This record gives sequence, C-alpha cells and structure tokens, in this order.
Amino acid sequence: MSSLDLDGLVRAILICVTAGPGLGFNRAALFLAEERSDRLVATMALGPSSPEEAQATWAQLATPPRTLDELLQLPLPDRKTDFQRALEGLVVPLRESAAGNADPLLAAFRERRIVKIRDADLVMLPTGLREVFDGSEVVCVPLVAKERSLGLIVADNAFTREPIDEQRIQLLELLALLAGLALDNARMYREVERQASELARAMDELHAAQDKVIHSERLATVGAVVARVSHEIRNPLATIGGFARALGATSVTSPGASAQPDGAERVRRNAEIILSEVTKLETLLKEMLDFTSPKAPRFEPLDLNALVGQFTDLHKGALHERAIQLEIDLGAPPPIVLADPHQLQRVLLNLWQNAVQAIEERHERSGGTIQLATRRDGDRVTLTIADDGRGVRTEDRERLFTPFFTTKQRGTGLGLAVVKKIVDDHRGSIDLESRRGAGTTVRIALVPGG
Amino acid sequence: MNVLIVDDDDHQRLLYRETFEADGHLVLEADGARAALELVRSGHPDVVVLDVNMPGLDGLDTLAAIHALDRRLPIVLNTAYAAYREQYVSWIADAYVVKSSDLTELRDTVRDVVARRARGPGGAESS
Repeated sequence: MSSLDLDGLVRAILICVTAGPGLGFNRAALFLAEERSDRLVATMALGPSSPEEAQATWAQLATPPRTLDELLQLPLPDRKTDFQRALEGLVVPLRESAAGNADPLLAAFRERRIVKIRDADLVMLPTGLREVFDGSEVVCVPLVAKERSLGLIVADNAFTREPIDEQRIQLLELLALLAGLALDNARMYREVERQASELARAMDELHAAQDKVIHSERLATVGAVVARVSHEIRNPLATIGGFARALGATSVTSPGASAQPDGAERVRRNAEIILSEVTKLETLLKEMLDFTSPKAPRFEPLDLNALVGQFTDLHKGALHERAIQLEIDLGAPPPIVLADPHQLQRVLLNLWQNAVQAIEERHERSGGTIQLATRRDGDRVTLTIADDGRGVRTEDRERLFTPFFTTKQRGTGLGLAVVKKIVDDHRGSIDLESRRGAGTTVRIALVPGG
Repeated sequence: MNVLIVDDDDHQRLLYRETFEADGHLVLEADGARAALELVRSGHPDVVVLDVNMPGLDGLDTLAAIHALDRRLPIVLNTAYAAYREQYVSWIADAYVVKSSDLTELRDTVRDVVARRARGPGGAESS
C-alpha cells in the first residue's frame, strides 16, 4: 500500500485505532470533510456489530498473534459488518444542527479539539450516529493538517465497555496528528494527479486539434497543388486536342479537293505543334517527379569554374539571339566544391532560365545582362548569378521557393523549389535579392571540396 | 464579326485564329495586355476572347482595363482555371469558358454573347 493511496491510508489509520497491538478501540469510523462543500462523510468504519461477532473476530485475529504490521497486510474481509453498513457513506452536515454548537462532532471538527461524549451527550449526535453509538462512551478526535480540519476519527469501546482514559486519548491524539499529515499528503497527491490527468487530457485535445489543423492545411495545400497542376496540364492538352481535331478534319479531305492548297503542310505543322506541347507536358512531369522524389546527391570534389564554363558554352548561343550580354567573373584559384555535378548543373540551369525570362520580360526581348561569378569565401564557396531583368515584387519574394508558386505567365512554380531542395541537400544556403524593375541576384553558398 | 483573341500562348492563338476564320470571322491577336488594349482601341473588335492565367492575376487586370475602355464590348473569359469563376472581377465578363480541346462551347458562346449584346438594352445603337 502506498501512503499516498487515500483509501488504503484511511484503512491503515482505522486498523491502528482498533487493533489490539495498536490503540485497541472496539470500533472506529473516519469522517472526511468534502472539499468545497459543508459536510462530513463517513469514509470508512471498522468494527464488529455485536459482542459475539467481536469475540469471534478478535479471537481469529489473535491466533497466531500478529504485529500491527502484519495486521495491516491482512486482506479486507469480503462481508461488511452492520456497524460498517450503518456508518459508511453517512453524511453529517456541517451547518448548525438543531443542537447548535453543542453537536460534539461539529465542536470537535470546528474547534479542532478532542471531544469525549458520555451517555448524556448522545442526544446531541446527528441522526444515524446516535443509534449506532447508543449507550457508549465515544471519543471524537479531529484530523488536522496545516491548521485546517480535514475530518474526524470517532471511536468507542462498545463491547468491552472499557473506559476511555487520558492515556488512550493522548495516544489517539498523537495518531490523529500523524494521520492528518498523511491524509493531507494523500489529498494533495490526489489533487496533483487529478490536475495531471486533466492536463494530459487537455494535451490530447490540443494534439487532436493540431492534427485536424495540419490535416486541413495539408488538404488545402494539396488542393492548391492540384489546381495548379491541372491548369498546367489543361493548357497544353487543349492545344494538343484542338490541333488533333483540326488534323482529323484535314486528313479526311483529299489533297486535290482541299480548299487549302497547303493541306500537307498544315498536317506537318499541326503535328509539330502537338509534339512541342507534348514535350511541354513531359517536362512538367519530369520536374514534378524530380521535385517529389529527388535522387540523393552523389558528392564529389568539383571545379566550380569548370562547371560554369561547360554550362555557359552550352547555353550562351541562345543569349546571342536575344542580344543578352554575359559577364563571367571566375574566382582564382578555381574554387572547389563538394557537390553532385548533375544536380549543380540543374541548379545553374533553373537560375539561368529565370534570369533569361526576367530579362525578356523587362527588355522587350532584347538587351540586358547576366552576370555569373564564383568565389572562395572563407569556409564557403559561392556561386552568384545576377540579372537586370524585371525583378520580383516584395510581396512575392517570400513565396518564391514555395512549390508551385510562380510569378510567370507560363511557369510550373517548381524551378526555384528544386534549386532550394538541391542546395539544402548539399548543406548549402541560398540568398535572393530582388527589386521590381531592377533585377535579381541569387547567391548560393556551398561546402568547399578541398 | 471581329474576334479579338488575347492569349500569351502562340499555339493557342493559332488554333483559335484558324477555328474562327473557318467560321467566317475576322481574327485579331494579342499576346498580352498592352497589345490587347491597343487593339480594343483601334481594331474595332465585336468580342474579346481573353485568357486568364493565375500568376499575378494579370488577366483579370486586363479584363478590368478592357471593360473600362469599352463597357459594351462583350468579353468571354477563356481559361484553364475553373477557379476563376470565384473571383468577383471575373463577373464583369459576359461568359466564362474553361479551355478544352473541343472548341464548340467557345464558338457557341462567342456567337451568343455577340447576338445578345446586339439585341440587349442599348443594342439598337449597334444595329
């Protein structure tokens, strides 16, 4: 039994009061004041109902002789005695009774003093108790902790008729003192337990609410993504379907009878358009897959200058057509990074395409400058790509790396999200500065490879 | 009649041009807002088929600008985004057609809004 278990504690107190090796009272009951209510409740009673039963019980408990400790370990009897049945659960109101302050129970409880009730005083006891203790000398001891009454022990010697002497009362008082402290601890513990379980329940509710929010947010995100993707797919599909229908109409007409002499030419052109739209869809799918299930990077030491050189050799031709200037500023000695070459190419490509498109949108399809720079900067290697294109509005800047967010008329919203993912996988960092109408600078810092 | 197609997708414009020309209409093309407004002023379109793209809501700005320029010009919103119906600016358009490879609905709608405008209140002026 834990001394913090209230029922077990009450039982132990009553055993101490009634057991032969303890105080040896014939019968005892323990009343507890209910918190936040003005009444006493008989929590537990211990004792036989009749002299015969008393004889039998005491004889049984005495052979073999048991110590108080052993008595405390004994299991509770299944059957309750009349005394227990009469008292347990009995309620005594704490308000003024008909007997006024003369009610010995109230006096003991309120005034926190021991009250001995002789035959003559029994009329003062509340109904229910009067009958049980009729013809007996009864002692009421308050249970006090921190100068507050918690309850009462009521005990008598109904069967042995042994007078309750001063020494017995002192022992009972001592026991009541310890019992009061123990009860107070148990009560505090119970309160803490109650608060803990309330807290746990509140936490559970909070978690459930949080799960709900996360779920609905996820649904909203999924909804936005689906809307975005279906838009990206519907556009090319409408074009493909439209030209395919036109193609069908063209092919059923024999070339000679066609109103359009360029029938064969139209078939070829429509097929080309369909093919280019299909390519667009394939690119979209690839980007989506790249984004949702990217491969783990395979790191190797790379000469960043060489990588930039290869890349620009491949792509600078397209700049020429649009009269976009390219300025390259490579760090010396060549900065080495620890990176996956394919993924880094991808980063460069996405940023490059953004730069070209931003310039096109600002410079009406000609002019503009792209600057590329590499540097070893302390414990980082940086790659910078800057353009003087249309720039990004301040309110859009924060969302640029969010998947499916785009400021372009024809963008998947995945380019920068992929860049961010790759840079994160490389334990690098990305920094974007942009001003509407002035241009954008993206700086990527990577881990050096040597 | 004169149909003004506003769409930044070259292929889409080509498809619409050939479709409406086959129906016997004259087609004007604009690949953006600026060109569209220019053609509304100078090209005398009878109807505008306007693509609206999500980013930046530029299409809706264009819609409002065209409407401000000529309140009686019928506008058919043509978009891959069904959700635009919920944007209140889109309500000033006369019709809303979601992009599809089947252009029947678009062709019918264009014909209907023009006919309705000709019949409608104030239609007498344009007879």
